[in-house]
Amino acid sequence: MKVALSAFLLLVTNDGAAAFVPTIPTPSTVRHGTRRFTQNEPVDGIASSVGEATQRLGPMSGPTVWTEFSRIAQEHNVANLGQGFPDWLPPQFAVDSLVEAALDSQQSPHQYTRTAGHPNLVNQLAKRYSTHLKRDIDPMTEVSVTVGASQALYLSLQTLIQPGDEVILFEPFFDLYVNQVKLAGGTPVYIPLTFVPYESGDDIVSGGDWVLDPLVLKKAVTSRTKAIILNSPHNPTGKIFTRSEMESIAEALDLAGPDAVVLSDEVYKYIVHAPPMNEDGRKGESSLCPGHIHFASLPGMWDRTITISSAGKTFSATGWQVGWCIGPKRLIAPIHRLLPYIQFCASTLVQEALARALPRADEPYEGYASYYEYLKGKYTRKRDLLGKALKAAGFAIPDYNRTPGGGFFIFARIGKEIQECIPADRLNAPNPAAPGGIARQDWALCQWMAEEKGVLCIPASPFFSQERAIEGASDEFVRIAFCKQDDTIESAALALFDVTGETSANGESSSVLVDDKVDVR
Amino acid sequence: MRMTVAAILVSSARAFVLPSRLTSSRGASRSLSAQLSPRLNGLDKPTVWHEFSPLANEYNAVNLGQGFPDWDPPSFVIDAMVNSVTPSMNRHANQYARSYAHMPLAQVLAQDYEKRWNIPIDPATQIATAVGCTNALYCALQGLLSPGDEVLLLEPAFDIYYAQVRMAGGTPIHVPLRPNPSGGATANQVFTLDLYELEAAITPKTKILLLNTPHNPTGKMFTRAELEDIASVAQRHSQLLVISDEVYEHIVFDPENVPHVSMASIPGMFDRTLTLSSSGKTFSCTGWKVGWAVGPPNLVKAVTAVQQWVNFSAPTPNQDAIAQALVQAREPYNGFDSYYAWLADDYKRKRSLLADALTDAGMVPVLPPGGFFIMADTSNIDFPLSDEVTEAMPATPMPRDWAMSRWLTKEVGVTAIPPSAFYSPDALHLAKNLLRFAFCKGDDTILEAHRRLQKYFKK
Repeated sequence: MKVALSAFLLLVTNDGAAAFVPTIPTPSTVRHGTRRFTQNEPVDGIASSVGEATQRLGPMSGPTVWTEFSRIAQEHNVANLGQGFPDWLPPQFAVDSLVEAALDSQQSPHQYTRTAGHPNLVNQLAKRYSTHLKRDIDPMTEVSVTVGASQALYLSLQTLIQPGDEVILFEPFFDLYVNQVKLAGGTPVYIPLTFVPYESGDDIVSGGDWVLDPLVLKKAVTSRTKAIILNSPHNPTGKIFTRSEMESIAEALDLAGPDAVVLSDEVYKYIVHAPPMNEDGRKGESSLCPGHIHFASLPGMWDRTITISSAGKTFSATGWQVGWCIGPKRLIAPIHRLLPYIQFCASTLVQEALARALPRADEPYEGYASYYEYLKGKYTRKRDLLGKALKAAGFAIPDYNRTPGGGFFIFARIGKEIQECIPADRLNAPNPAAPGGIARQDWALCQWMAEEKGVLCIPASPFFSQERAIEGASDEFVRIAFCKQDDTIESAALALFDVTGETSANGESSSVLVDDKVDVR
Repeated sequence: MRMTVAAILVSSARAFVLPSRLTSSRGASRSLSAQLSPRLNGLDKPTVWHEFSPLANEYNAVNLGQGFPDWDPPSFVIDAMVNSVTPSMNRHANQYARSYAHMPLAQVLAQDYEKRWNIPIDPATQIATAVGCTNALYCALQGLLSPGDEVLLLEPAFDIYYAQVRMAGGTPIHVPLRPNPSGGATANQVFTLDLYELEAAITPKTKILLLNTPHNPTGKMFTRAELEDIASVAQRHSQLLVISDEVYEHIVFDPENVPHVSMASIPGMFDRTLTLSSSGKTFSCTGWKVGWAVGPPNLVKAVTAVQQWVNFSAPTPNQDAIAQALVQAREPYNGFDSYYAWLADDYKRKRSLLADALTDAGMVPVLPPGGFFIMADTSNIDFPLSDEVTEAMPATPMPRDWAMSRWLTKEVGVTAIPPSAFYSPDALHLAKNLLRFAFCKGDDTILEAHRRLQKYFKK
């Protein structure tokens, strides 16, 4: 090849400048497959805009559940319980922290900062995690700041995964994980969580628990397993992984070999609205974060874990995009090396703002012992508001008196009556954004409710692998958010109640619904 | 500067580490370098910044190395940020932004580019925002390159370009902006691109030409004629795209004679050009990290398709504040027609201050028509060579400009960046008589540098 030849000659004959053969990092496993052109066809012979990354993403570079349901939300008047972010402001002390930082001309946090993370912030994070994990965390080598937890995950995968490596995901999963694994050239391996209903029977649709079967997990471990992604509290089910389940994950990690790592996504950890009940279940909790067990605090797991979290969910400021990774130097150092090339540094200003907000969050707030207690109280109340509405409307939900839960979603099960109301022409209709190109029961219901009933929820299928979705594993579930103003939840409650055409507050719409019901039958 | 083949192989050994799956087995750990993804290969070296910032601190030197201002953003910009998060302003800027771009920002950018280029720009499909321009470029390269694709870099090139191209699996191919010392006094005269050399470097694998105008570190601004020539080369190779990094676009000293020209505005080039820029240099807020890409929908999509999964969106308050700032910046400011006019004038004054300082030191400043760096010719300066070795230096023995930079910091108390940090290993010799000085510093800082240079060199 022309360039390589001239470079080689330079190497041999040059007696001046240092010569160097350019390396082309192409291990044999990198795909050079045929290009698939999706909607990025070249224009009149102009170069293709499809590169390796977009090829690896495949259909994910097309319409997704998010683009579809955002579009629907914009086109219809809906009570939006789909989006995973609050519709209220961050607490005043957080806003004040950002304003103060912006106006501080002494410190002036307006220019580039340390690429690995702004010193004021990493010092705070190291202090907190030292308490969480009961060890001394070094702010300079064991902490990395990123643009949100999403980027923390992306970077962790980029440093760990080579093409062909396997990453274990528990199904259902936040769909971001799959695409990030693919971007890194890895192969996702799906371990389904088992849904164990409280009651079973032909006509019974009840709530239940999502459970990890350790045998299924261990069987999936191979010599290619490089990472396991743990998300607790879990999106979309709200599950809190038990200590015993975490111990199985630790055992699976050992099986996978010394290079395998757990990526522990803990963004909802301050929203544990239904903590584990018994003492055993609460063993190992952090005193600063009751109800939550940090995976890295398990015996032997500090060295095998990258702990990931962010400010967005905790401070109702998802747009600030401040996330972080905590872990041993050997795992964090590679992330530090990559950061300068991804963006040089995360925004100094928001990092400084968070550094100022963190200590304030520990102080009494709105009658609660701390902002964290307030946040939990707020979400618990909203969970109950939504939960009651869902049950009245015919959905089955977890019983939070027996099933621990966290985060701000209810993973509700579609009751029989609701199933029967879904218009036949919507069920299994073709839809390019839906897994397998078909709007199965969960998708059809959500789309119908959003387009015609005034309430938007997210179907479960995008959180499952395509294989399992087309088998029907996700057909009965929808994800419904309660990080919303009470008004929104109440409007949603009315709309949900309306889904089966039962009596509604508005007599007129009730009669219209009765007619619809007749047509459907 | 003789080197044995062995020495070359040893110094580049790190770059050859391949994943050693053959040696891995359960119970035996692969070595750290083999265990980590190959995309990190060659990135373990500390950068020029890791060496010179601490050095400047250690010697209390006046730091004219770092490319960011030592003053606050203008108050209208800070006020905009306060507005963005203040509840009563109802700007709804605290939650996730639309992944492609926060619409208020996309709309303002579309307006600005439409006006400038006289081409319609759809804010919904033709603007992508990112966490600074570096991030926009990272996403663009990840989205557009496949392993083995070649990317033309005009060197000296911002050091991050090389690493980002390699991380995306691409092969950087360098084409020099050869310094022609007798070409004249300005960066445009001294640093020229040989079009034949450019075209000769193009192969069937060449996917992208990465342009930077105004250029870091030389301050060169590609003229319309030059861009047209480059365009005709590009158009002869249908697979070639242009990415144009224009972050210094508003720091332009002679807009009538040497205006900023975007490749996207050259006839025939819009559909094959992705234009990148950011707010950091323009609004003196490099820590805000709001960057963007503009172009035809299919090229913008390459950025958003990747960004969606890397960090989903750029911080909303920052995007929202810049949306306001960009509107304000069009208005009269401090007696000038616009904030941009004031900014350029302020920098022009600083350029003079620095040029005087360098001249008094016996250097020849190569005056830039834009940006905030001056490349100074140091051929006349004698200094004692040393056999120091540092981790970040690009070659052994230490290149002259690198050694001179260290000496200038320690002995004279002024820090500049050695341009060999921006050259490929084959071309380091092109930097030997040059140093890059920044003038994005308070007048006092530049004057202090002048004092120290004068003190040492005019003894």
